[in-house]
Amino acid sequence: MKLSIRWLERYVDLSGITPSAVGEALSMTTAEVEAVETVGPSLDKIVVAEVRKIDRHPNADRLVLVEATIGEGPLAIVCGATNLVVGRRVPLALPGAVLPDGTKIAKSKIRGVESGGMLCSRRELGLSDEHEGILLFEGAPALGAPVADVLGTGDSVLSFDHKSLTHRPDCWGHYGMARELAAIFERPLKPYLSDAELAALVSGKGPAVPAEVEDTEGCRRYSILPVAGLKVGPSPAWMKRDLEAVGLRPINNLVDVTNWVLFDLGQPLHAFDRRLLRGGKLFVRHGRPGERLKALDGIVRDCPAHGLLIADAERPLAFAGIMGGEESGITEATTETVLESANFDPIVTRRASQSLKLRSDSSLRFEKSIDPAWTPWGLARALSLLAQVSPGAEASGPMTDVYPKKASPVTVETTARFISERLGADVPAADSVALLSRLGFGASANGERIVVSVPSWRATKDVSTPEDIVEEVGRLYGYHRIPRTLPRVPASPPVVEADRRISEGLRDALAGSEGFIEVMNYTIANDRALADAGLLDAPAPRLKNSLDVEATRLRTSLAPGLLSIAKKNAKTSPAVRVFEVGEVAIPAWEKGSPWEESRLGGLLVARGDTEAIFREAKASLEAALQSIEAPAPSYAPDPAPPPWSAPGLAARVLLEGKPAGILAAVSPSTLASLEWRGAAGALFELSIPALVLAPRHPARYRPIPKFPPVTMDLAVVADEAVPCEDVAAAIREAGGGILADVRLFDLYRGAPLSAGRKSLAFTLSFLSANKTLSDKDVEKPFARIREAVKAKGWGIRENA
Amino acid sequence: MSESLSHLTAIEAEARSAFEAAADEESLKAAKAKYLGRKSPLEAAFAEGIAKAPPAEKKAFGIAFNEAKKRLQEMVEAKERALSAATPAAGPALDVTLPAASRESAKITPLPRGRLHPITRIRRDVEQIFLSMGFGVLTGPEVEDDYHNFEALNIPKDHPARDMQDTFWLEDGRVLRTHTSPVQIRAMERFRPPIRTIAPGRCFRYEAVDATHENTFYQVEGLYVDKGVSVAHMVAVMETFLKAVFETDPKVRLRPGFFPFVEPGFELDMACVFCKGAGCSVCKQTGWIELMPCGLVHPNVLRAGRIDPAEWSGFAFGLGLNRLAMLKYGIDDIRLFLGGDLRFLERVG
Repeated sequence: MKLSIRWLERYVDLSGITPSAVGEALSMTTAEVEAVETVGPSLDKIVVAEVRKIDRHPNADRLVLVEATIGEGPLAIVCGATNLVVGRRVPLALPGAVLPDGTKIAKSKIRGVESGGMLCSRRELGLSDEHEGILLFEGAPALGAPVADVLGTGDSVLSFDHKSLTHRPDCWGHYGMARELAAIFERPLKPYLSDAELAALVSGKGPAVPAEVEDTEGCRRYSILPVAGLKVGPSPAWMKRDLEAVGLRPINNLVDVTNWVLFDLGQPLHAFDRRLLRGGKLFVRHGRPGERLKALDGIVRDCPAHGLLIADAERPLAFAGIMGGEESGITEATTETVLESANFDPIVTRRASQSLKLRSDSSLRFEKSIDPAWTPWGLARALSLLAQVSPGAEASGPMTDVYPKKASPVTVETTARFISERLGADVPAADSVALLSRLGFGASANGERIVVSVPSWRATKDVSTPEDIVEEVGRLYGYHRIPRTLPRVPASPPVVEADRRISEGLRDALAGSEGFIEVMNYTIANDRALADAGLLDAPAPRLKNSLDVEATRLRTSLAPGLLSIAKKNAKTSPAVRVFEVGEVAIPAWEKGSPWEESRLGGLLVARGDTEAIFREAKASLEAALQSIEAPAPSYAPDPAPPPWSAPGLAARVLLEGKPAGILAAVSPSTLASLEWRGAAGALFELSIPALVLAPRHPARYRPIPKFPPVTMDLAVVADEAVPCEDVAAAIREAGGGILADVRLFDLYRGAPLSAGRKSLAFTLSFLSANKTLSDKDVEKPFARIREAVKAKGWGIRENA
Repeated sequence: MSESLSHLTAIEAEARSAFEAAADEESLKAAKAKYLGRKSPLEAAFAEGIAKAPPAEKKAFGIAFNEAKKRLQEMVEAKERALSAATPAAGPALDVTLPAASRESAKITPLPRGRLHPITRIRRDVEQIFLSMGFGVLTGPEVEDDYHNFEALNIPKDHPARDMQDTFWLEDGRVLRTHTSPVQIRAMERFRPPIRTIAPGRCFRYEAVDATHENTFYQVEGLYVDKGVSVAHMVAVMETFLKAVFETDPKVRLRPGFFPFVEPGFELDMACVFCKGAGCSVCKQTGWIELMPCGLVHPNVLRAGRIDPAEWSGFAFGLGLNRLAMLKYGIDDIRLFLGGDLRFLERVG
């Protein structure tokens, strides 16, 4: 919303305060001013000159040669006007000036005589529409002074952030903001109307126009006034300039008056062409089935049953509080109008506006809950303006005012102590009363107790509690005056979320020793990423409104996002080693159960073979789990691998037998669609809640062995289908307590092994707590192990 | 228009049969280059059609073109997958019980330096400072119900303040939380006052993305409920916090701001740390950086948390983490955070 400084000055004297200071003051006290801009004709290089002499132009009968001065030597000016008087001061546009209509002034010869500039009329200065000769200043403004200063033509416009005015229905017009400025700068606020203007509302001769309000909750007040003797034409220049300054397009004098009042008081008005009303009476009622209305924007809409309409005896005329209808609106031929100034309920207006998908400057204001006391004010101001812009216009009957449920006055009681305590600054009762009075509140103090009667324009919902009074006092008192006081808090350790230790520990391990880069992907999954991961058809919660047709559902796994990172960086990264900790949605949730889950996901992609990448990912995963003191995981083939993997490539990660997530190799076809054809990849995804629930294995020191170990190698030949872990387990079991460690150091396939067979070579470490072991000491256990291996049907490769 | 449209449809049909006919990856690649490349007949038909279309129909034609192109892209992708799946998978199934690679044998990738995401780094800074001041750290769900995201925060249905929260709605009526403020309610549901906590987390706004706007971003909520909590306490805590984050002594000012869940409500500005208030491009020549909305907790919000506003008062704030990270690390485009470009993450980690 834009407000003009000149317009504000109609109600409060702002002399001596620069526009930017006005904007700053409002920003610090009332609402955010986003910009302060200068508007209107700049009138640069147009200055005050005095006419010294007037001679005939030697070569032209209709021109004169003027000798003028701007305080220095004489200037010769050629001019065509006939109203010049020697000794009078006039505006002179010097070479280089640009007139408001775009005309550039330069030194030029006119009919053979050089002219050093141009004397200007009001019209040429953009101040009037009339041809009325050169502007003759009254009195003697200083020679050479800029005309803009003398005439005060410049204006500054304040742009407000709408959000910061959401709670201030009174500030959506110049008068309300002028009231704020009067309070801030302690200057008087002029009354909005004169008694005579108000009296004119009921002085119209002729009958009143009757009105009937069906829903007095939806329409709190309905005031109408018939006006006759109108002649539709252009508005005067001042009104056009005002409207243009606040961003409105002037249309005609009648429509412009309604818009001007809207921006002046904040009260929306509507003008009906009286001769187009059928039945001579207006109704405020709900829409009926099948009713349609063509609004002023030219679009025909159904009338919603929950919304209100203005109608005559036969048909709807306007969407109440939102927009008038085309049929009953003002035209060039209008001579009589019925002016409407109403107060509609904010919720009724908002719902209707939403279902009609139609918003306007009117509905915007009604949604904020404006003051019902304004309706006659708006009519009175409009009536006096109409008499100005269309001479002869007058009320043709008294105002009809339907206002069955008067708004009840709002009183708030509080104490000086409450205000001081909330602000944290000592504000005595008398000071609070004085500050509130400046804003138009009725306030009185009795010792500590402060009784505040809220003015009608703040009483519609904005101010009703002691906390609201704290804000009113505080903002005028000056927030900068509030001291800084650190609170005193007990020395108890603060509460932190249980999963924080887990998620932060995982981050530290992966981004630390494991060399992973932490990434963050969108919660709203991208269809292409889902397609690449084969998860496009997976169930997922869907958005009702989305910004992008390809991003309409929530992620239910971190995998597609991680894989998309590989794709995005395929051209620029030799390898991808990334992780993410984030929330995923649970597609099928029931009331009372969690609907999202925190996950850890990690992805490794590089040139190399699948087995090696898989084992590297496993190493990082296990290191991360160890860092958070989780149990050592075990792995079981996943019978239902995710689509981006493949059967035989995926494992479930189990913590003490309970599933906690997956670790899987990325299938070659998925890698190909990620533009990593021929590379290998492995991805893990774990549930953080599962990690929180898993038993903790706190770090404990184990004594350093006192005696050296004896190591022996053993290569076991088995079918591909035999899991390595089964072999290691069999070795461990047979080895007994003396066998301290079993470690795979080589995996071999190929000649002389037959196809489908593999050799698993382990290093076995034997250790005793009591003595240095000799080869002899390990002979027996080693033989036991060989027996156990053979008993399983596996072979032993000698001298491997 | 209809002529241009049918031309478009004809080209799409032609492309589909070409993709259909591709028997191997080579021929599919050729067909893809022909029909989805930059100089494809589809693009040409679009350029010609959009130039001819009357202004009112340009949008519809553009949409039709985009949809046709998307359909074709999806078909190519599906076909690519089908063809590569047809190539036999090399080698046997993986033995998932193979032990983790030992560090000494990790020859595949030389171990690079890991990086934390800049949002994690700044979040931890913020958490550390508040923890040291006795604030806890809580979290709340990213998908919220209407009650916690709006109603309980004094934003009833049909309130114009709902316009301030451009909201992603789920089909089932839940929302992607528009702020971390719902955690205020959840904290009050879990704990009795005094409450001192912050709540970092991901938030969402239904708005177009550009260099300064993201639909997915991070906030840190703060909530302090105790006896006699005042504006003076709030400013002091905020100043102390900013001093620690920026390791300088920034000037702070309060302006009135409207947020339904606080009364009085404020915008807290910090004197620009780059130009020291003289005016620069970061502060848009104002000398001030708008940093966070804050205020005293509205009595209706305390009541929603079953806390008696006659006995307790509190302050709350919502700090934008992306903005803070951008200021602190000199990041000039908010889209980089979730853009997934590893070169960005390597440069700020």
